[in-house]
Amino acid sequence: MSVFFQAPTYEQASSSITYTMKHKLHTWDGTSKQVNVASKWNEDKLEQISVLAKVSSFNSGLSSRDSHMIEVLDALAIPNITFSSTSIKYNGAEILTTGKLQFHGVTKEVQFIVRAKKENNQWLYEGEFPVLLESFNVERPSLLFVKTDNSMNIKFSLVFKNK
Amino acid sequence: MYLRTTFYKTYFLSFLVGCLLCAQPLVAQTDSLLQQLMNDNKVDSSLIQPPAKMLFTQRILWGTNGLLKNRYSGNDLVANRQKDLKIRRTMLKLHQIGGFVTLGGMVAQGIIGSQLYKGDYKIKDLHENVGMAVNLSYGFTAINALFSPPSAFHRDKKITSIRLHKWLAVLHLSGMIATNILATQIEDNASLKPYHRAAAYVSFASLATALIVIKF
Repeated sequence: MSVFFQAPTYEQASSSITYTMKHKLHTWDGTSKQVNVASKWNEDKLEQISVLAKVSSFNSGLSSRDSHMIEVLDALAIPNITFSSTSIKYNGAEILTTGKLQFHGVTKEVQFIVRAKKENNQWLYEGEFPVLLESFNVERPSLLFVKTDNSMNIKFSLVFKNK
Repeated sequence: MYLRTTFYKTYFLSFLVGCLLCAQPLVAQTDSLLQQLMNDNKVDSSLIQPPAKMLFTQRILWGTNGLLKNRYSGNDLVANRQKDLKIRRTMLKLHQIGGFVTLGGMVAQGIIGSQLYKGDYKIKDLHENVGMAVNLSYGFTAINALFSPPSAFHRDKKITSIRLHKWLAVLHLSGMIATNILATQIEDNASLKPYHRAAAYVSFASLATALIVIKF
């Protein structure tokens, strides 16, 4: 590692995680812009990453719906959703990332492709992966007695700035 | 031959042990990265207390000085708030059931009422009884909404479907009150019949709209 290398700094204000859920009546997104990240770098390559977001930080534009999510995800007792990488493999602009996702108190291994883009002085890491609610012991929320789909899509966009 | 086999076995085992030893620090480092983030995040304190803004009907029961302020034993604030939110969920499910039953009752009343207005006075008692049932289910629906524990937070800044749902309640409640008052006046003043019907239609239309806006 170069003596003069300084790891990029994480830009929380420009980063976000968004979930998408579907119900028979409508589809909606909830976004958190309070995503905490700790990372380890090797030159300009991300080597390890841990991500934490509070359940209460996700905003779908409807506080009653967000409140329902708090109940369903038991956020009073399990306030955080976390991801810790166990393997990051580079293949050109794509990065195969494997890690442990802890959601609703259940930890499972997930794997997804991250696309890395360098724009000006910034690194942008984007990707998405599906989460099956029932596999994390989440009771699917219902509206008018109709439950949401079991699959929830997670999309993330993390920004790091070179010093 | 024996020495070569032993050498390869030893080399392979050393390689395996080496891999395991290298993997452990990697996992430990990732876990330590996560620990850096976890230190201040054990409980989300913003969720333990109910929101500052709540309906006065909710405050009467569930507020800091509400009638149910000593509803649970023990000082576990997290467990207490979890119980509140479970009660809220149950009451809102009953509110949804009550809403559907009320709407169905209003449709029935519309059909019976129209027969009554055509001159079939035999069904007057039926109309009054169904009216009483609709009033009861409407009251049950309203109570479950107005007196449920407050939600986790209030942060809507613009017009939302739930806000419209609540504003329409003003309209259908007014319509229900007017329909019932006019119903008691009709026997003495038959000219009030069209107004009674109009008030009933407004109640039905606003209740149906309140149900539909939830979709969005």
